[in-house]
Amino acid sequence: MSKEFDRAQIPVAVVTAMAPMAQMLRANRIVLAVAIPYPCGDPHLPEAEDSRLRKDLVREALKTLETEVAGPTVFEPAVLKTIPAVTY
Amino acid sequence: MEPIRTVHYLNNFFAGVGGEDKADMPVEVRRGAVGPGAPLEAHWKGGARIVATVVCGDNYFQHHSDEVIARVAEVVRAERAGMLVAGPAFDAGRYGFACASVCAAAAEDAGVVAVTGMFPENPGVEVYRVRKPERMFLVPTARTATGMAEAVSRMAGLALRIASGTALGSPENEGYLARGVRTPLRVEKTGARRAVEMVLAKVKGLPIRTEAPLGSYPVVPPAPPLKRLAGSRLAIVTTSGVVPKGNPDRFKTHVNTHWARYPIEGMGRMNGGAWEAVHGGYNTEFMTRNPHFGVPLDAMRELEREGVFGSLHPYYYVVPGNQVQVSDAHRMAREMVPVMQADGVEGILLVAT
Repeated sequence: MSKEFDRAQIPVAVVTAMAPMAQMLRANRIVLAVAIPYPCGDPHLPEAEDSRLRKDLVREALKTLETEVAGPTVFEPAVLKTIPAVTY
Repeated sequence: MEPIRTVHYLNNFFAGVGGEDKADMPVEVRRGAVGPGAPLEAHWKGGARIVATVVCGDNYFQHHSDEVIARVAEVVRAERAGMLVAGPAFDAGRYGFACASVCAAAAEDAGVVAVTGMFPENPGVEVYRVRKPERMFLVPTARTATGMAEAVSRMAGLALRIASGTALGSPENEGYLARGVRTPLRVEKTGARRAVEMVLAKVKGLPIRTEAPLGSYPVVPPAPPLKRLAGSRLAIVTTSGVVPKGNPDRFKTHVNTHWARYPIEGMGRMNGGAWEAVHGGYNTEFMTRNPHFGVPLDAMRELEREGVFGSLHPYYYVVPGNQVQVSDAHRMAREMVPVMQADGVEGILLVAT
């Protein structure tokens, strides 16, 4: 889907935990997310921290819309490093 | 047996009406075969007959495609035709696009057999691959009209076999371009046996042929970045399957072919209990409890208030992304684009599960 948005000249930030899949499908602005069942946030965090995580993640995703890319590029939001590794 | 009544579509050039200078020529209907129609008929040896030829300039088609497509359908109906043949178009892009478009429409709407031919890299091929109408077939041809004799022979043979009801074989055997349609068939060996044999062959370094080729994913250059995020209007799209509780648009948990949008205007957040996640590809428990994981409206509202971006489009767009066909995903996104553009959307946040 993202490629059709690109084709229409609308930049799109693809927020997903499945970066390799997004790369294979050739999405151009890929933003690494928390986990497949909860890309934007973490249900294991207290509510306030979850909200802050989500806001930081979304802010970094939106920044990629202002960023020049040449092809499929994966952005890893710094905020992801602040949360414990996800276990499924 | 009565010859199969056939309509043929040609551009002005192949119909003998000038070249590029006449590419604005509007639709014209001629009786009988014209240009490459004559050798087509010769191959059919009375099995099929061209009753009418629709001729149109390629530029005219670009600007009046709906009209031309409707006109071809009208001729097919009026002539009680069982078959439409278009081209061959070789590597002529506009012509190929016109041929593929009239064939796809005739196959989809009138249910007639539609056959065209063109060079595999002609942009018209994309129409065929994306729409894959059941009754349409595209024969690969040479790049230029020096391949006319072979193209006509292959198109004629395939068209007649299909239209006369002969069981259709694989793309390799029948000589049409694969569309990625899978058809069931009986084979001697079980899937397990075939898979093991394939692995053994691979280990030995023997050539193997996959039974389920993965489509290649074409590259689309990235859209240029926003000049100023702070002033831009953005939209949220999600494949997480977050929908209003009760799933009013009846999404399935997999292989969806439609999308929906739901209003978020004036809302600061997605209140728990009002939404649910419909998706068969991940555990939706967390998402149903907190839809912000898929539609981060709370964060977007705060960032909008802080001026990080200009404004938020008043709807979010959703299709549960599980096992959606790539071609359907392309189509759905294409359908969303004009709706968003009408509201001045300049950038998209797409949350994918």
